[in-house]
Amino acid sequence: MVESRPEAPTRSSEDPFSDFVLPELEVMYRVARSLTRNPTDAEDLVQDTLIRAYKAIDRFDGRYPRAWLLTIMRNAQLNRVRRKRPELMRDPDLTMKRVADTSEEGRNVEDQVLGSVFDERVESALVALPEKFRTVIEMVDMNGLAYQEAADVIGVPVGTVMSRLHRGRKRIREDLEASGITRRSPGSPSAPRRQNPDPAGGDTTGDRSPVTVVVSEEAEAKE
Amino acid sequence: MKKIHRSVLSRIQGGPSCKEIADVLQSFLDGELEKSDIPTVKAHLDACRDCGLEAETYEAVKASLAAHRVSVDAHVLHRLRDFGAKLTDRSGVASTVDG
Repeated sequence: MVESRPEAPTRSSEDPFSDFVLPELEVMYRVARSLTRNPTDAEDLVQDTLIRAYKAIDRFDGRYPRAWLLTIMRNAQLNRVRRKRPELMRDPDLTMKRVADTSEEGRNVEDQVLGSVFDERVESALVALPEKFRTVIEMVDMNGLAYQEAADVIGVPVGTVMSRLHRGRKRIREDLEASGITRRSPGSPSAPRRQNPDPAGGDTTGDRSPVTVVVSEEAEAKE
Repeated sequence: MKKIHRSVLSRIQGGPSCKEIADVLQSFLDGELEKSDIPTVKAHLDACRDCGLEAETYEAVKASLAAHRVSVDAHVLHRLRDFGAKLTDRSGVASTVDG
């Protein structure tokens, strides 16, 4: 007996392109900005992606539209890069303009200065990262993509995304520690306290049987 | 969205070690951790000073990075929406794409 399959979402939509694709425009543009480093190229890339998605909409089952679109965008970008020789120059404005945060009114001056120093240090550390780490951090932390979505648009396994993300963030954190701007040092006067400051449950032995490593070792070995 | 991790923490007698928490901390902060493991991680972070500080540092880094999100020009979005709408224009205006 053949099981009846649940109806694909697109089958119940009269206009799947408007229903599933157009709502993702802002995310698509942000990701395109990360991929191209250039606002004009980003807009071109999104338009390319929209055309490809329009042509393929009948083959889309309506599930995970963002992942579907980001995969299309990755392929569109690969084609664009292949057509353009030599390699595209990076947008020199990578440091991005800072917008005055009026919501900081009411915080004391010291907090504002420390916050500003912290943010600038994070930004410097981000710029200093190898491209492959920086791209993943942009996709997840700045563009708000999930791990699988970032993997789809970059074209690597999700384990690689996790590995690069974790290692990139770790480098940023190490940069902060080296700069003296850190929240890590126990006992530091500036170190924040958790609700339960006594680590009675803290583990210092560490001798337990190994568990499955979250980030695939195969992915890490390829880095 | 499909979760990446299998639930492993709940099977460990006596609770996870700091090393095991470190292995899943980033996924926990990104909302990618198996739901059943979340209470275990939270309990450890509340109880362990070092792991708690580690988590707070990464949270601060994430928040700082998120604040650097590129602002999207409203005109650009409008152009893209207009472009998308034209692809599905059913009013008889010729589409820009051959079917």
